[in-house]
Amino acid sequence: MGRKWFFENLQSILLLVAIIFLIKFKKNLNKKKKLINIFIIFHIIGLIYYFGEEISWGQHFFNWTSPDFFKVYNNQNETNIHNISNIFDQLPRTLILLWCGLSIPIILLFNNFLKIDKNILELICPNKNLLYVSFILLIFVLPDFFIDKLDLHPGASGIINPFINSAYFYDIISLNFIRLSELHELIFSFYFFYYSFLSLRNLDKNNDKLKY
Amino acid sequence: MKKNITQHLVFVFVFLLLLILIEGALCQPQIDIVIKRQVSNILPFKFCNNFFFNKFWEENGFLKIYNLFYC
Repeated sequence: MGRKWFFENLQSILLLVAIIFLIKFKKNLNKKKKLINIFIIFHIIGLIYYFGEEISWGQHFFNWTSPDFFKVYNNQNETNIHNISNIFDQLPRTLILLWCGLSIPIILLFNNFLKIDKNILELICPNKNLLYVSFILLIFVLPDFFIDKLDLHPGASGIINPFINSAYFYDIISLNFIRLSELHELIFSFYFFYYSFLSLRNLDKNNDKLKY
Repeated sequence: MKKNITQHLVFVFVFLLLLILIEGALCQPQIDIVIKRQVSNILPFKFCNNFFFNKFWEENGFLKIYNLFYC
């Protein structure tokens, strides 16, 4: 049991709770709001994919031997498809990053100028506290993103004198001294957990209002 | 303003992230050296200094860095 174990299990728990909350949210949702229903269904399917891939569809817990197909094509010989091709890994990851990092700031910004429908606004941003999570994610993503895109990192850090090494400097400011991708995934999971929690809470509040 | 559960959840998560960052930083060999150098100056630790450090650095392949600061 190590750091990786902690990260992965915490992520799995957050995602599982998020899926349960969203299913409950979908059950209590007004069937007439078709667009919102479809959005939530896609959200649940996406989260099930993310959760399933994260635990290799149960292999991490039940330790079965991977089928031959995965032994051949999967980079880590695990029963998941995100280690087979970038289409199943980097593409969904980028979409999640854009969604978690930018959807809330953009919709709140637009809401200042345009009159966005209340249902759509609540669907994307159930509570303004979610903005904090987006900002946290951006703090962890942007330094690494700019250092990578501007090609500032000189490469692997030398071991002879680590104190005066620019590679080490860039590792520190981009927060690459920890397993950054794992941390991003943890923030994604927390975002989805928090989103589903807030959505369900909003719905319960609205339903309570209707009762009285 | 009284804080509700939604804000507490964010605080707990931020606290967790900070812990992860601090733990990650302390595990860095560069920071590790500074801490171990300070620890090794404390008298009781001086007795086991040679044994512990030589063994540790040799095993971890950081003997060169150790020599840089101690020799």
